[in-house]
Amino acid sequence: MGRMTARCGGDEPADRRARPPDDPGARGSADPVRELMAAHRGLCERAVDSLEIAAGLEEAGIGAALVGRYRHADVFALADELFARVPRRPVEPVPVAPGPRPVGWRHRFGVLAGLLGALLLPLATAPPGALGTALTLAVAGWPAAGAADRAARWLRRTGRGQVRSAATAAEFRARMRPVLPVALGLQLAVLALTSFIALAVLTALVPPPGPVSHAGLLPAVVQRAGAVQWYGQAVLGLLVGTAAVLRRLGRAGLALAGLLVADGAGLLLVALREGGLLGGWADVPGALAALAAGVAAAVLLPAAWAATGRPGAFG
Amino acid sequence: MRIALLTERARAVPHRAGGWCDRLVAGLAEHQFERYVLVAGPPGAEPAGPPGPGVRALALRGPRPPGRSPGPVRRRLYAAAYEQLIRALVLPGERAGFAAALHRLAELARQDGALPAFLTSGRAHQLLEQVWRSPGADTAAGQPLVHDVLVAGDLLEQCLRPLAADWYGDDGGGLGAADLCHVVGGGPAVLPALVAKELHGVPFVLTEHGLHLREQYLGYRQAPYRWPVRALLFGFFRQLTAESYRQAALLTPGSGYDREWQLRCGADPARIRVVHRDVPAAARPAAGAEPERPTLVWAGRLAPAAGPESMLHAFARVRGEVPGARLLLHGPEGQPGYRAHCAQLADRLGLAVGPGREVRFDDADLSAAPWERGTVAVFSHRSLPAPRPLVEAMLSGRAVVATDVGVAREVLGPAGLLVPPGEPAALAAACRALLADRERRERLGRAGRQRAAERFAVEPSVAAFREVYLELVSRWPAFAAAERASGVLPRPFARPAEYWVTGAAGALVKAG
Repeated sequence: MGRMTARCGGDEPADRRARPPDDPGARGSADPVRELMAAHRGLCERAVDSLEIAAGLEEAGIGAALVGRYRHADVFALADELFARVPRRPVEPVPVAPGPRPVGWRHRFGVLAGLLGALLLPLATAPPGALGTALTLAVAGWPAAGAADRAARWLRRTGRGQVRSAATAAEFRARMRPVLPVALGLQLAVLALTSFIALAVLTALVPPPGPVSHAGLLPAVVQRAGAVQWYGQAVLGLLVGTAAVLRRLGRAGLALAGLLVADGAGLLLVALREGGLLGGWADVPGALAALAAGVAAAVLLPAAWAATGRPGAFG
Repeated sequence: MRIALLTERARAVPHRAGGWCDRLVAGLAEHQFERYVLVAGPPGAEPAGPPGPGVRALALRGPRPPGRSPGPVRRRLYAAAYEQLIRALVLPGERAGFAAALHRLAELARQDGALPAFLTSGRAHQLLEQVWRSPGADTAAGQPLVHDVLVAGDLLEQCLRPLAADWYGDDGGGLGAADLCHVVGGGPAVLPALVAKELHGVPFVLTEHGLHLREQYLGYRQAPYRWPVRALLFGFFRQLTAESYRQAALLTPGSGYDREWQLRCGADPARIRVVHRDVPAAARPAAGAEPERPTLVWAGRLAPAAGPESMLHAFARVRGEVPGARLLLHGPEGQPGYRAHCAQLADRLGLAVGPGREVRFDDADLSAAPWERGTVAVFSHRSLPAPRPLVEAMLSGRAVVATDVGVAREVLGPAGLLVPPGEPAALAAACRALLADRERRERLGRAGRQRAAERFAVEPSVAAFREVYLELVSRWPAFAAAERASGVLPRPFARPAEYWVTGAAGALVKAG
């Protein structure tokens, strides 16, 4: 009762309020808890319940021997009063950067092997006549694979940022929706550029057979590879890009499986073509590579889409 | 009697012989102990193989144990139980469902072991978010974000791992075959005992040396978690503590100070018995002759909580009146840079710091006893949650001055001087009084040594537990699970205590 009346008339001069709680003069103050509140404001604002304040007070030396000064029977009652009087105002913790995810050497080796296979796919599946262009395209794929990994890392970094700021999983998914298309689009643009440069170098070194075109360098370079070859290169880029995204999101096993499926399908198709089981379409340069990579990409793309929308993948 | 000893250990280092549990096991050779250890090591530390012969271990940190996710039908069952658990944690009106949800999860985990896999799945996170953000949830200081859901989900998964342990069989070697569970320390280590009690009717004793809940509050203060995560986690710890206090056949806190906390957390005073933790140094002889120059010895970790500043302030006052007095501060740094801070403070107070000077810092391990190098042992600590440092000082036979915090009053009793915390003048006056009066010093030292040797020796502690065990099983019905199943009321003293001491023969009877 005495505490209640004391609190009502609690407007005392500032110099008395600022006095530390262990000062003997505090015993005479009208509202001794106020000084305690000032001294332990951080603890009280952060606390999740009054027991946390009690633990903090006892650690700071305010135990059973001192609570009488604050007109309470025990430290728990004092903590209850502090919990009720101080509004919650927690400080945001400094985010800790997650450590690198440990990746076994087997996965690294496997992904590298799969990548090698996927990039050699156009070479392996090329009909005997079109080896030069296929080799050029395969060489152009190597720097683009680096770009794919970079894009995947950008995607993961963006996702981690969104995980920390989004309120709900639905909001997180909505924010992440454009990220995968943008990452894959950037990577495909890099692939298109490297392929174009490689073909330009090829055109300059080995001019195409037949009448020299006077329409300019650009059409000549673009037409150096057939439409199906360009299409196959794009599908292959998509496959490598999604595999990189999956690997960065902790699904390295699935990424490796997708790449190996593409390799296996390519070799199978080549074997079928050599056996004469496929029609004439199989002799079109790039057709088999596009088909084999397309099958794997059709599996990996939905998986990558699902993983990008799952907050747990970015933890 | 077969006793299952459940403990939680901080590190995955191989078991160090001579701990409290070892003394208990060695002292009660007539009983058969089985050890169950939860290893809560720092994340990333690899468990160093099996912790010892006959010990079952379970890692509480690190990547989740392997296991397949439950199928769609089972997942619905898991989801229902998990939702009930989260509702009990975040909705103030549904706290009563906590124990039921725990036992339901344990039952599901026993059937297929897919609990950890379920708890890390997207469905579990979705449920957590849904309930946590529902109206009425206790989120006074901020709504949880996506990241909080992930972090809290992982923490809950780690806390609930003991539910999925394969310890609950009743055929040889499981908790079901034990006559009694003895849980040392609270928290997740209680979960197996709760499940064993529900499943097989095995009673359990809960020993807490340093209250688990209080230590969690202090330990998680520096953790990088947002307020909602801490609130959820402490909701879990609080409810687990309350449930374990409700279910425990007996609570044996290490001090009356911890007893107050247990009462506050809802323990029944009739089922609390304070059993002091024994200190093996009780058998050590007292320290020899006093040093020539009057010396105050202070021991502890150099950090604000141990109050070395208050000690220095007090010593500055002592030095003026006791010529030639010295101060020895013994202990490693508890906080980087704090020794330099203390040395600066001593300089400001006009004290000479260094070996052979007035104030000496002694950077030694706390296990080395510094007391015989001093005339009076001083504790200027702001908090003394455990009796052990005080008891070791008393056992040395030196007079002790301590601040009146934590366990100091009950441990020291009349055999030492108590001063109010945070008042260097009072501390200095007590030190001066003792330094000036040799006869009083010796009298207090002898009384302190006698008091500590009586209360904190190994034998009384072991004897207390011998009594506790026998008393518990004598009150507990012999075939609890079977009798409960047939709808018969439990019969106290159905069997004499000797029945339980027979060991192997008793096991045969019970198995048959």
